[in-house]
Amino acid sequence: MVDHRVALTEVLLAATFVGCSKSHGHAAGAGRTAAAPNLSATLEDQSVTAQGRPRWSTYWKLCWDYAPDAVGYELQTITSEGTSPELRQQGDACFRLQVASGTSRGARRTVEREQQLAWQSANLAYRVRARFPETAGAWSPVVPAGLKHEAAVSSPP
Amino acid sequence: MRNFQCRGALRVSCASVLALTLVSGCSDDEGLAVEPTCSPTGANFPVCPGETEDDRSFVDPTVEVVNAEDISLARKVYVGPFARLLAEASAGIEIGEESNLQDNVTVQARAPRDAQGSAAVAALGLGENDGVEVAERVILAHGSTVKGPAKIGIGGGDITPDPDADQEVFLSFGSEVDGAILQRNTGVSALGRVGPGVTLHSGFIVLPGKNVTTQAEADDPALGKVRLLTEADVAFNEAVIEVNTAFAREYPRLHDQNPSAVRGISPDPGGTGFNAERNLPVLGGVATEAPDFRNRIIGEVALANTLAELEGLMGNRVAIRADEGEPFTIGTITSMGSDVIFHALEETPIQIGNDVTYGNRVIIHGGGRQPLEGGGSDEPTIIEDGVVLRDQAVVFRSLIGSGSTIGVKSAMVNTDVAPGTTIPDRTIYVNNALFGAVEW
Repeated sequence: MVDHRVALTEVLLAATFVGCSKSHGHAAGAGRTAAAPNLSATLEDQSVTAQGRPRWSTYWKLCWDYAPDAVGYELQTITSEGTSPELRQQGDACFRLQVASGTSRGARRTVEREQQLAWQSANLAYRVRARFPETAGAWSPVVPAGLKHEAAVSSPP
Repeated sequence: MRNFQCRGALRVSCASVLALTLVSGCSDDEGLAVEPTCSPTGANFPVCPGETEDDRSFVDPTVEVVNAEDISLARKVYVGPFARLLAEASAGIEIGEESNLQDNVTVQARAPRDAQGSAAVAALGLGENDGVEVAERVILAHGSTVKGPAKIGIGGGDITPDPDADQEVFLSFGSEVDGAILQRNTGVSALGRVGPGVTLHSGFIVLPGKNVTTQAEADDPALGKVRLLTEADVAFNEAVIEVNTAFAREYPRLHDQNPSAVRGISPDPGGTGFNAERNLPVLGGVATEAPDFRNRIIGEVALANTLAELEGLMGNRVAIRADEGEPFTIGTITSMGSDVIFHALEETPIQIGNDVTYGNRVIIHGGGRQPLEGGGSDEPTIIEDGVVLRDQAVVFRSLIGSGSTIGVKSAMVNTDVAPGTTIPDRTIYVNNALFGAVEW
């Protein structure tokens, strides 16, 4: 049957983030900002009542250090079906995305939330880079959507 | 504009929509703002023309097309290897702009079903000759099936997570829609199913492996079959469409340069942002181009077996498609069934050992494996020696240890399986955790 390697718990799933070691750094702008943005990802839970029914959502918030002289940031979407050739333009140094949603309560809500986070993190991820007037910075590591990610020690600008 | 005209069974619907000035599949000669379409007949196969080179559609030459004149494709549609478009003279198939049908997808305009199923479909307002209507920006992923009559991406409306005027519908690996309606902004997760007579309303997605057979199950997440669509789902869908419209653009270019290059064993198209170079498969150590081979082997694939050996080891309609992720290294094959699919994401190779057994409709998909133990990311998908993959098994961004068996219609998603493990039939693991059962 299933062995130890597939018997991990949801706790491990939620608490463990494996850093993405591979950087897809581009030569362009490498001298300007060799360090990738210092990424952190958090989860925020929110409950609202919509049309008389309670509804909860979990948002995944990816933030990074401001890059001096950057005119904005670019995010690339990486999915289980392919990497988007389109880049999302972002003015701020944070990106917020709803990654789970439902109407359940109590323990069921917890299960549904964890399952949705697991599924999204297996299927959707982002990387980010700073955009300068003439060039672009290096790509950050890839961060799966729906997983927390602790920021590393800040890189020098 | 040439080759755009009303077609076969769709003429009736053309007449109807003309009256509503919502025109689908009709000629520009009608004098209305139309969405140009073409049927994959004659000169339109495998490339359906567009107004420019960048908005053509592509139907892989291996696609089984029945009653082509009753099939309409809008612009920027990609239809992958060994898909099946099975129209009838009285029941057509329409595919909307920027939609894609990936490897081994089946769209059957009119599927047989029992009396109960037929009654359920009729109660939904679908006539047996209504065929299959697939709207714009619909993704039919590897091995998914649509059994008509059915509508995908039709009706419903915008949803809070996707307020834009556009819409997307995603049918994931091995999923099925059978005599049902999927409204705009919906989805079916891997190995999920929507059965006859059900409408999946905007904003809902079927959970992996779940079989939705009643309207109550489709409408109430508390019954455990569906969940609410999120912004993450929308972002995912939009990105997948961007990837596949690139295929619709690049494969016609490859065909322009060399028509035989999109047949049999051939180079990948290259030219995309995620795979710039063209590479030729290597079989038994020999770079091989064989446009007449019955299966599709595309791009940077290294197979241990020779072409002569593969003739006897492989089933039919096998697609080994290294047009995005590469390289694929595939050891000796013990046996391989039909409708097997290999695909991978950008910069994510697939490594498969020796003496591996592949059942029918197996899907192996690479893409940034992230082991939860031991670190690393963008790790290759690995299947070690002596693994048995039973029919309809899905291995996605995973490591399957030597001598393991993955059961029938089971899916391993970003999961490491130790050597000698047996995964039961109809079981889904995600991120090393049991996700649930496949109900059908």
